[in-house]
Amino acid sequence: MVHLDHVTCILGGAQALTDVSLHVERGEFVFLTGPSGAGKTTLLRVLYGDLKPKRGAAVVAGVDLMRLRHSGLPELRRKVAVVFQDFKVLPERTVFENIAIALEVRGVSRTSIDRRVRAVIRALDLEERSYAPCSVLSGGEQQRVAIARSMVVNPELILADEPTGNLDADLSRHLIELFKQFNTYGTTVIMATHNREVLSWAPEARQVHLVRGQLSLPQAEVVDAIIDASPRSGTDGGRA
Amino acid sequence: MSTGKLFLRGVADMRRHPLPQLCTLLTVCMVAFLAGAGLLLLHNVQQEVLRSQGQARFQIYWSASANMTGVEQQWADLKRVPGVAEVSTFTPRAALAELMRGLGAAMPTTVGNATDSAPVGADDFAWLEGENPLPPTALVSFDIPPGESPEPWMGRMYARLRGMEGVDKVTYNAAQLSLATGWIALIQRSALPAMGFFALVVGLVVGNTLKLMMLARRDEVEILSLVGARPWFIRAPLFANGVVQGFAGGALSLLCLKVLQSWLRGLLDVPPLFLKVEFLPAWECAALVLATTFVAGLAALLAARR
Repeated sequence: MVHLDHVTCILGGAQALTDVSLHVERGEFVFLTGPSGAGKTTLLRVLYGDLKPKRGAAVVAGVDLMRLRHSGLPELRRKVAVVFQDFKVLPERTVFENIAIALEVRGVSRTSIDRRVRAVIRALDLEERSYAPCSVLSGGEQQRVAIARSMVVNPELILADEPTGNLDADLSRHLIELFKQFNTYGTTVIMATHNREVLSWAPEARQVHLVRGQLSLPQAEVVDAIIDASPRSGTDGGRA
Repeated sequence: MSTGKLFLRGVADMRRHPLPQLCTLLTVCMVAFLAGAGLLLLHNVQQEVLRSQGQARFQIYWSASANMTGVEQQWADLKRVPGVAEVSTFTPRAALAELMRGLGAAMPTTVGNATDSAPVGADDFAWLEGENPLPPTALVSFDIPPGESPEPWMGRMYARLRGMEGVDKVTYNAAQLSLATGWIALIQRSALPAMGFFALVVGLVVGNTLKLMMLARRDEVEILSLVGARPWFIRAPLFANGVVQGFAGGALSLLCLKVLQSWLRGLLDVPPLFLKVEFLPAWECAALVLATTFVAGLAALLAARR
C-alpha cells in the first residue's frame, strides 16, 4: 500500500525528511510516533500528495508520487482519506452535507449518497445531529464527522494526523476503536500521534518512530523526550 | 455532477457567506457605475454635439424668375430624399415677410435727432410688393448617413442640389460640420482607451474583491481538494458565484445610472442650459452588464485557480 524508499523532502529550505524508507502492507495499522517537529505531519503530507519528495521513490496506493502531476492528485485523494487534528469540517454545513461532500465529488448518485451517508451516520452515532450545522457540534462530534467523511468512501488508506489531539481520553479511545474497526474491514490506517496512551489502546499496531525527519530503528534507540520513557510495544521502526 | 448542477450549487452556496457577498456586490456595482457614468458622459457629449452642429445644412436659392409651381414640386421631392431631417421653404413673399420681420427687430429708425427702437413697419417695404427681388429659397438639413465621410458626401449632395432645374446658388455649412465631425471623432477615439481603462479597473477591483471573498471559502476549497474533487468541481461553483456577482452588480449599476440620469436631466434641462441628458442606448446598457459579468466571471475563475 505504501512504498517509500530513501525519500528526502525539503520544507522551507531545510530537510524535513531524510532518507526515509517505509513499507506498509494492505490492511496494516501503523502508528507514526515521534516528538513535535519530528516530521510526522510532513510524512503524511507526502503520502497524500501535498508535498513532493525531493529524492527517492514513493508509491502510495499504486500512485507513483514522484511522477504525480497536479491533475493526478484527485485520483490519489480518492484512494487515500485524511483525518486531521483540527477536524477540517465546514462549520456552516450540516453533518449530512459534510459527509456527503466526499461522495458528491465522486459523482455518486443522490440515492446512493443518502443510503451510504445515513449508514455511516448511524455507525458513528451521529443520527440525532444529522441536520445540525457542524458549528454547534462538540469537538468529539466534529471529529466523528471528519472520520465519517473519510470512511464513507471506503478508502484504501486512511491517514490520521493526531486525530485525538483535541479530545479527552474517553472520546479518544472511542475514536481509536472506530479506526480499529475499519482496519478490520481491510482499510490500511496510518496514524500520527505522540500520545502514549493512544498507542496502548492498539497494541497490535506497528509503530514507526520518527526523530528529526529520520526513521529511528529500534537498535538506534534515539532518545525522545515524550515517548522515550514509555513502553514501546510492537515498535519496529519501519521496514527498510 | 453536471456543470449545470455545479453552477446551481455555486449560486445556492452564495447565501452561506452573506456579508462578503454583499460587500463584493456593492464593489462590483460601484465600479460598474463609475464606468457607466463615463459612458453616459461620452454619450451625451456626442449627442449634444450632433444636436447642435452635427447636421449638414444646405441653403438653396432658386433664380427669382423660376416658376413657382415647379419650385414647389421640387420642394415636395426634397422632403422625400433619404436622410432629410428638416426642410424649411420660403416663397419670395414669405422671404420678404421674414426679411421685414428681421429688419424690424434689428434696425432702429431715426426720427429727427432722436433715436428710438420702434420696429420698421411693413408699409416701409410695400413698394417692393410688385417687383419682389427675393428668390424662392429652401433650408434643408440632412443627417449624414452612417459610415459616410461628411465632406465627400456633402460634395455629392451639393452637386445634386445644384443640378436641380432653376437653382441659382447653393451654400452649405462645411466648416461647422467639419468641426462637429472632429469633435465626434475625438470623442469616439478617446472612448476606446477610456473604456479599456475602465475595463482594466473593473477587472482589477472585481478580481481582487472576489479573491478576498474566496478567502472566506478557502476551507471549503481545501476540503474539496482533500476529498478528491477535480479542479472543475471546485472552480465551477466559484465561477458561477463570480458570474452572478458581475451580472447583479452590472444590473444594479444600471439602476443607479438611471437615477443619476434623471437627477441630471432635472438639473440641466433648465434655462439657459437646456441640456437634455439622455440615458445610455440599449446596446450600451447590455454591453456594460455583459462586460461586468464577463470580467467578474474571469476574475473568479483566476482567483479560484490560485
